Amino acid sequence: MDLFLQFLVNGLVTGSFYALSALGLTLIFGLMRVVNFAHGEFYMLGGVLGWFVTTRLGLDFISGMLVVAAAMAAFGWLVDRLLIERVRDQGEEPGILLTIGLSIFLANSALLAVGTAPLKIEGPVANKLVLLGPVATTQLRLFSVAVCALLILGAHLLVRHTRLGRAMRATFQDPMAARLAGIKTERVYAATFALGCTLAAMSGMLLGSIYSAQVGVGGLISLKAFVVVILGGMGSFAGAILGGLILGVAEAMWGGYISTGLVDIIGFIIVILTLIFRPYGLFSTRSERA
Amino acid sequence: MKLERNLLFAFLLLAAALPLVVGDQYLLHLGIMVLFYAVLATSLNLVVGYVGEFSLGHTAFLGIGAYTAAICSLKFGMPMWATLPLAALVSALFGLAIGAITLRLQGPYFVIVTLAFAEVLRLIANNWIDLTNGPMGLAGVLQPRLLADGSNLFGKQFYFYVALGLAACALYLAYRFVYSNAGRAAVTVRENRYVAQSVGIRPFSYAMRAFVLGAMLAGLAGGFYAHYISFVGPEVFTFSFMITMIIVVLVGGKGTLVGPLIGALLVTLLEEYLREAKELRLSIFGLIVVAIVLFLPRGLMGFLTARRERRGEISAAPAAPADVAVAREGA
Amino acid sequence: MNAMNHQSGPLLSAQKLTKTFGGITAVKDISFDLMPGEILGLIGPNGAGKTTCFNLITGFYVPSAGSVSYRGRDVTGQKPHAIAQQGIVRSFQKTNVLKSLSVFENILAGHYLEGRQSLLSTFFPGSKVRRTEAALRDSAADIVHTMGLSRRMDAPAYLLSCGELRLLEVGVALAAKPSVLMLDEPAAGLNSQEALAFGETLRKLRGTRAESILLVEHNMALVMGVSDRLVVMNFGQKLAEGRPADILANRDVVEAYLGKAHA
Repeated sequence: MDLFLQFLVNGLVTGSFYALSALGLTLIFGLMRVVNFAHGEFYMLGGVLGWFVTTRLGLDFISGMLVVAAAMAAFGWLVDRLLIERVRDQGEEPGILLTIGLSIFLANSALLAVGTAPLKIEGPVANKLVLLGPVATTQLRLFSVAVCALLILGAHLLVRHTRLGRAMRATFQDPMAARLAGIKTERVYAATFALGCTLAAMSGMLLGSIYSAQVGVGGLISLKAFVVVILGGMGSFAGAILGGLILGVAEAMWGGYISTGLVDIIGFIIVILTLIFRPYGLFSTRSERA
Repeated sequence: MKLERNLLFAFLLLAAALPLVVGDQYLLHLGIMVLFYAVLATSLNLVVGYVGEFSLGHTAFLGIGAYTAAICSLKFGMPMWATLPLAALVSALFGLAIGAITLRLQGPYFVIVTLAFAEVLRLIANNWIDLTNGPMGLAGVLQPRLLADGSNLFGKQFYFYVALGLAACALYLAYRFVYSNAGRAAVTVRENRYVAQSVGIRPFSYAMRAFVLGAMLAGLAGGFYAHYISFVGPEVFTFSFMITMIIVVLVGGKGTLVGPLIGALLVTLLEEYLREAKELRLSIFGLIVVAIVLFLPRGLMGFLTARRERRGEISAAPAAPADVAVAREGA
Repeated sequence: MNAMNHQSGPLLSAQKLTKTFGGITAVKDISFDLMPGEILGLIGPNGAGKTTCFNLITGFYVPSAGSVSYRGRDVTGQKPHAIAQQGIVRSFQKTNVLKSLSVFENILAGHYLEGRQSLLSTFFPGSKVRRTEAALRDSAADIVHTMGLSRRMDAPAYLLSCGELRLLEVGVALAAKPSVLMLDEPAAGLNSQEALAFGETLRKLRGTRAESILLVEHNMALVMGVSDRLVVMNFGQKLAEGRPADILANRDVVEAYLGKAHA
């Protein structure tokens, strides 16, 4: 039983990061219908930049986070305005190809710049062991999960209760009508993309402080984020969170009880099964219109 | 149609003449890689152009073909002329199975699930040590006895002509498919599923045909790869091959038959030029993909065709039915 | 009565067709017959459920209740392509053509059923295949002329005007050699002269390229002039059925279209 609880908690910790990272992806897809294959690279950049500002620039973790958030938001904004804007009305495929090209470019440029060695980010709290009953975790992990939850809550409040959030939802429902109502849809799209980018980057930086930031991780992260988003339903906020937690726990259980070698495979099997039996996600109420 | 056929013939003839004028092993190797990528790109093109979706997991079939050939060669001692058809067949069967699952999905779902399949295969190849030797890979794939006493140059020439044969085969099959009723049906499905259904086409089965054909050809290329490189490892399932395939198809122009040839030529040369700097090369490839999507979405062939279309502007004077019927014949 | 009448029963028969979406009933208890060799007009105000009927008959929707039979056989709920293969071909309310292909290629594509080949023939075509292909191409060119699109034979579909697109769509449907041709607002986008010419074309098609025609139209002059009989729908239910003259005099129909004051 103790072992089970330990795996569960480990899984929930990892799962909350998956959730945060997938949130960015699902927002971008749900609000903009763009499938961002460069998602993993935004995550990676968050980690690498986080290392850079804390190690090379000497900032503390929190300030570093703010700087990285601002930088990645600006970057996401630019990517949308300069690249995605041009192919927005051409259907889904150009967006997919564009972001694939972008991801290849970012991953390899980062490799050129920083190399393959893992980069350690100094967390804001020590990695001290904390015991919650039979379960062992660390202060740092608890802190990171808390930050995760805060960010998720923040994103939720942004989308639900701010003017920008309302503008986002309006634009998603009907871009033409939104424009007629005076909403500057180009800015809404750019802001949405920037938000997704930032969430991914934050997730990367947080995990980078627990483990380490690595340049080559982008592809796997993208795939896992897609697993979560497909599981929860593309565009579903709650689905991303639940999906992330489920994936995290599933991986922890598999890795703990069966083997650690093939842990990554569980995600792909989940996504294949989901797409066979429930293509719109576990929590989606959408059904095939006859 | 005629122009395309002539271009294809011209390419094959020129290629056939190459080893007769070039005696340099390295250049022959480049030629072999061009032909190899041409076959791969043609296979991916069938999926992209005739299923209408971008399969990011196409390396799965390349890998399956390669491993099939390697395993048949090493564990059963089969010669190349047996392993290649087998590689194609096994890949086609996998194509049937994977297609049955994935072709029910569209857009990004299709892209992701094909990618997931490729990743699953990679993980299996990496971990099923008994069959695949894991990360160490399968080395020493049998070479044809013919080459045992010959020089290295002879070996290259031999493989060049094998590759040429495969390319000719692939282009023939693709060409026949494209200009058949089945090919037209696949295009109809791609362009508008409603129209397709309303004239009696079952969308799934035609998407499946294009997909399985693509899988088979990729498997054939994979089998060739196994013998030529004589080593197969899990890297064959990685994204890096996929990237090259994507670029070859995009640069040349998706949905055309000649496009993959041009793309294969350009990209192989580019790859060789940047052979040493792997990250730089891939970084540039990424930029190229972005640039093509933004500025040259139909690739080079598409661009040239568009120019020709604009020149020969459409508004023929009304022709008598008999004349038109005759004109249709040779289109 | 039409001289083409080879069989006694109706060619196509809808029986008590009903379709609900969630809490909304789109059509309820719709029944009508399409006789061989006739042109039947399906009219009614917007939102009456005419296109839903089309979708139910051709398999794009599955009926919540009721049945559809064709030549006496029950075809309810079959998949669209299966229905088309049996000889019922439809066009769509919103223009659906193959935008990037030329007019000729569009109509050639519609000949799919006639050109079906075995796998072997696809890759190793013999002389029979060549002859079939030539016949298909002739047929396609012929249909282009029938629809009056000769001038635009090689023009890509995305260059066509709205009216020309509607004609192309009918042409593609014809290519599939329908016994029952179902057209959903084919004259939308045609001016009065074009609509008149289109009516002529429809009359020529009946009995030659298509045995019977089921037509949804809002252009009253066209549909009154070309139909043998009419079925009027309103709010998802059948309001009236009969010959054009009778329908014009029917109070309920006038009321449905113009309001109580005019009835």
